[in-house]
Amino acid sequence: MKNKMTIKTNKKKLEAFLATAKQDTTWKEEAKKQIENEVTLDRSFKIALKAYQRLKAMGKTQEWLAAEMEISTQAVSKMLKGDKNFTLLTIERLERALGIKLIEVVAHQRTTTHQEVFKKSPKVINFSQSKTTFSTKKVVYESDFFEADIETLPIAS
Amino acid sequence: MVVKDIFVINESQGLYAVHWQGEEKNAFAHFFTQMADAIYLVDFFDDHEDDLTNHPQVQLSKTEAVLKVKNDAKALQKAILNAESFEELDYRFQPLSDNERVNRIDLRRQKCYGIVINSFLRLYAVRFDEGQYLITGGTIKLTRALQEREHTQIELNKLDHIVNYLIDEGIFELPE
Repeated sequence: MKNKMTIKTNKKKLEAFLATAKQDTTWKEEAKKQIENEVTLDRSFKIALKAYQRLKAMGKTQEWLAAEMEISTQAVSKMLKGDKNFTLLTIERLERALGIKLIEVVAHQRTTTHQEVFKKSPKVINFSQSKTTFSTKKVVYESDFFEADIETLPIAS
Repeated sequence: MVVKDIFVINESQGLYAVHWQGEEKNAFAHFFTQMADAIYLVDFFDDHEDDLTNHPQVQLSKTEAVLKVKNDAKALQKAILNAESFEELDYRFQPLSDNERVNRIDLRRQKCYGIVINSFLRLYAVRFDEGQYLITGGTIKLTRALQEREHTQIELNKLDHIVNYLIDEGIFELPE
């Protein structure tokens, strides 16, 4: 391209060309579904990612995993792509085959809210003026048992 | 490289995509499917580990890179889904190079970055002045020039193929 090109458009031919285009009716619906199920799909993706990385690190193939889990290779491939809604049973079978933990259930831990922390430890509110030594305590939200959001708040010891 | 079909992705935006022969989906759907596929992304960053390590702006582990691309593609797809007009699409795309910007008006090869800072994502399209974008493909770009890696060179070839195809079909005419 040496000089600025003034390209001539044959509008009729362009219209005719675009008129031959097929409708893609699936992508918008698929994209909407993805947005609606965003949290689930994000978690599925992370499980698949960890599982596939482990499989590769073990030097094993998807066929091997299919045989271990007694499912088809196509089912393994679909699962490892990460757009599948995993059942707990599938995750357990995956964990057994790969010899790793893929998810951890946060259980038997006391649920503590920020409000409770501040109510029980009023010193925290004035901690900038206090000479108390602060330690940290994990606050786990039990409602998000799958992949708990863990915050660290200063708590007066 | 053969054009199998052309697909309308969103008529009100003037967004179209090429369906290349041998590929399961049109270029637009193919790109977003790949960028949400854990197998594809893990294999990609295993194969391009050196490019990731030597990236001038971004220092990420392979796992972080996979998650960055996946989330970036999700955000880009949302942005395109929510765009209501050609003008909004036009805002996202820019000429493939400065040379393209200076020398060409219509039938221009364009690129669209992902949403995040220092995005690895590139979506490629040919822009028609009549108000349409024709997506030819997309990929993860870790090096400076498209010519540096086979997978990015393929995307460049696709753009050139479509430009030549549209000229051969008489839809666009180059000056004598």
